[in-house]
Amino acid sequence: MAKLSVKITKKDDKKSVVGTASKSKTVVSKKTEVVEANKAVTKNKLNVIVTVKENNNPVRIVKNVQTVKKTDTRREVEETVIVVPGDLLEDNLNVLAGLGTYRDGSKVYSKYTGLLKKRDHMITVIPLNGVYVPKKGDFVIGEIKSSNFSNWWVDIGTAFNAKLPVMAVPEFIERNADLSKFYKNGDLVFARVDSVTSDPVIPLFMKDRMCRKLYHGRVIDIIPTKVPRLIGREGTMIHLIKDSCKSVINVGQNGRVWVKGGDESLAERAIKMVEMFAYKSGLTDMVSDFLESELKNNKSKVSVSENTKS
Amino acid sequence: MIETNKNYIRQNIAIKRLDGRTYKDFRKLSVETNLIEKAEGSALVTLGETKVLVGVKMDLGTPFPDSGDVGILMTNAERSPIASPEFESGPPNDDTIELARVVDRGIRESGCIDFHKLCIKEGEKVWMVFVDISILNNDGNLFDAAAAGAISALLTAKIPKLNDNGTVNRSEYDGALVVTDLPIMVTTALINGVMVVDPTADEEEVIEGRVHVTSIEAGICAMQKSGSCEFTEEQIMTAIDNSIAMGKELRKQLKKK
Amino acid sequence: MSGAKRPKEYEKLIVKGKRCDGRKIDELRPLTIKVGVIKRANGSAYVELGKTKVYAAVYGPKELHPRRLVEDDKAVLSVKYSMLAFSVNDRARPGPNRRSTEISKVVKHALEPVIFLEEFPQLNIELIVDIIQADAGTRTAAVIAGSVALANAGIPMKGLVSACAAGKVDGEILLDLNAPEDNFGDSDLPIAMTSTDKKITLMQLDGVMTKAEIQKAIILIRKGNDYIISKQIEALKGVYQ
Repeated sequence: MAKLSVKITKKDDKKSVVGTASKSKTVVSKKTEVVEANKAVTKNKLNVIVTVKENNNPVRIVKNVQTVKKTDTRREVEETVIVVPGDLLEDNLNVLAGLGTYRDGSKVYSKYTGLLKKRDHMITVIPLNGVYVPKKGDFVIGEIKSSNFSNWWVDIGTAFNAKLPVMAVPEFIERNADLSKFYKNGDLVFARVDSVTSDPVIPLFMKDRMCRKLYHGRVIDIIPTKVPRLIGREGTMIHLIKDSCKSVINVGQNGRVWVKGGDESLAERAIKMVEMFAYKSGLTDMVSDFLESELKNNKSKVSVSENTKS
Repeated sequence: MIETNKNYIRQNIAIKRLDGRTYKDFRKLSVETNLIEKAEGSALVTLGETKVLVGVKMDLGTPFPDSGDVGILMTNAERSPIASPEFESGPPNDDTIELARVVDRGIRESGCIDFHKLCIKEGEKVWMVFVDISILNNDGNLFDAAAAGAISALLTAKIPKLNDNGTVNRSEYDGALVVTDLPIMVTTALINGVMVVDPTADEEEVIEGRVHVTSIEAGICAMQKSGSCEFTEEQIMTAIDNSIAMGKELRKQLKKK
Repeated sequence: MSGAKRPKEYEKLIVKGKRCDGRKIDELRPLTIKVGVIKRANGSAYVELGKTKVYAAVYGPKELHPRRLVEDDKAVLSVKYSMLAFSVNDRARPGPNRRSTEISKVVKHALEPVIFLEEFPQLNIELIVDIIQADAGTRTAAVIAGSVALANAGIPMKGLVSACAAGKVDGEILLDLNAPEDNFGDSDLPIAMTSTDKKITLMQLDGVMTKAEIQKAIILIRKGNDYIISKQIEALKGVYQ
């Protein structure tokens, strides 16, 4: 059970004690003994209900500890359970064996080393490693490798290159035009997955406001299953990094992150931190604290990216 | 590697590298010796994320006809597919053979092993010293890591005892393999006109060429220019200076073992 | 095997229930498992089983070459087991030989049954195992390390696979033979088992054993494998503490 730091203020004489409260008895100060501690989440407020014993009389104090962002609240309440392939998750025919699990009779097992998610009557396991598995609509960052009359071939990090048909780009291209004049080998594009079939060659399209060529900058690779964590609930994590580093950042579901401008090096470290600690709760706070302290230290240093030619 | 990343490395190399180092900085080097008890000597070198394991085995052999009173040194390298998706299994290719021969030259030409001391019976029996280099993880600069591993393994290697009937007794030792100097290899690579020390695997995708320089306390004992590019005399001198300066530092670190 | 002449120190391999390295007859050698040791790979593991030390790395799923080996409906698991030159007493010439080729094959067949190969048609999952020091039990260590490296790489699996060997030495059935016991004993029986339902995926026998002795050996091996699986799980989860 997680321990909380709680500041308990006694109304009468304005004394306050600070200590940790947990379900087990904890002596907070010589005079105040915590008998019981519970936390409850209502809307976006985290309340701590502490029963304190004073002079042998139990006194119940409800303390609003903090108003937290939705993202953090959910994380605080959910426990992180790591499972490995073959871990028995449930022995129940009424439970849905979701992604990342498989069923054998009434037993549901994990397929991956990953995070266990139990919601309502469905169990899923989110793998903590693995190659990119394309889904329809995914935004991906790809590199043009070659072209023929009607397609560009794009490396998106899957075993087979994806194809970008001439009809799928916003530019108007004449018959027999030289395709390399529009997208040449080595160009980086932000595109979307058109569809996923049994054909290992994935078709892409770029007729979307967000799709475009990406000039200069650099691409950082992260494990694709960690991309949702990098983006964060409603984009909170990636916006935090963008704003703090003053960088333009595009995130591809294929685990490629394009960074340009601002403090690119700090952005990379923040991105790598999210990748490494993706399984932890309270990650947004951790990254936020890290960025804050780094920016304070770097105030005197010149931003190197201003000196680089792009 | 993605072309965008290659350009990024090239353009920024003079000011900063991806991991924050300057063009003259070495990554953290650590060496663990004597980890393979069955080998007469062994060293595991970690240079950044590059991991190289070197083992020394000694066996009896017949000397070469023209040098009957000296032992034999054989250096071999294996770039196992365990270390990188680019490494293929099979007999060593020209890159692997070059690695083995350049490391070998650095050790042999330094005079750090007195091969006469490895003679058991002139013209008939000598000790053969096998140095086997295994790459476990490739994150660039395999040459320097392999060379550091080879000399560390040799420095801590023990000569097996010879039984009365002339066979090798590997459970008893007859002293150390005498190593009197520490040849240290330092590689400087050319990226977009800048001479860069200790390249990572990412940087090696954009290097035009390399200069490997092995130094001992008395001077330089081996050099190799590698890669299809041209170097100015000034650039070669930079590589030599790097080897002398960093050689001193690394020698201090390795001597402590 | 049993015909080999024993040097003096191994005249008696079991004295008063104690083996030459101090172990009891049903005791495994000290086992260490580390995960994520080869950064370049998708997944990796390092295993020490007594003096036997192995590194394993997994690359993939990725494109498969040569194309003639491609399977339309599932991935191909390729396994390469090698012993490094300095891993044995008398230096081994580097490169594949008949023994390493056979071991690569039995290790592949030990791990394949638990992998959801059908999720990656036409692709290749590559497992490379390098033995850096060999002191008997290298194929069992290879299975232990390979299984962990695959799980570390995020390959979907029904469960893990563990392996250990038992054998008859001086009339006793011993668990996890070390090199002298393997060299001078009467038989060696390595067995790999799945973690979920204890099914056997690797089995080889060298030497002579009666059916009863084999059954006794399997009981010891089961216990050994249960312990090994708990260590494999601990290593995989340990990354995330």
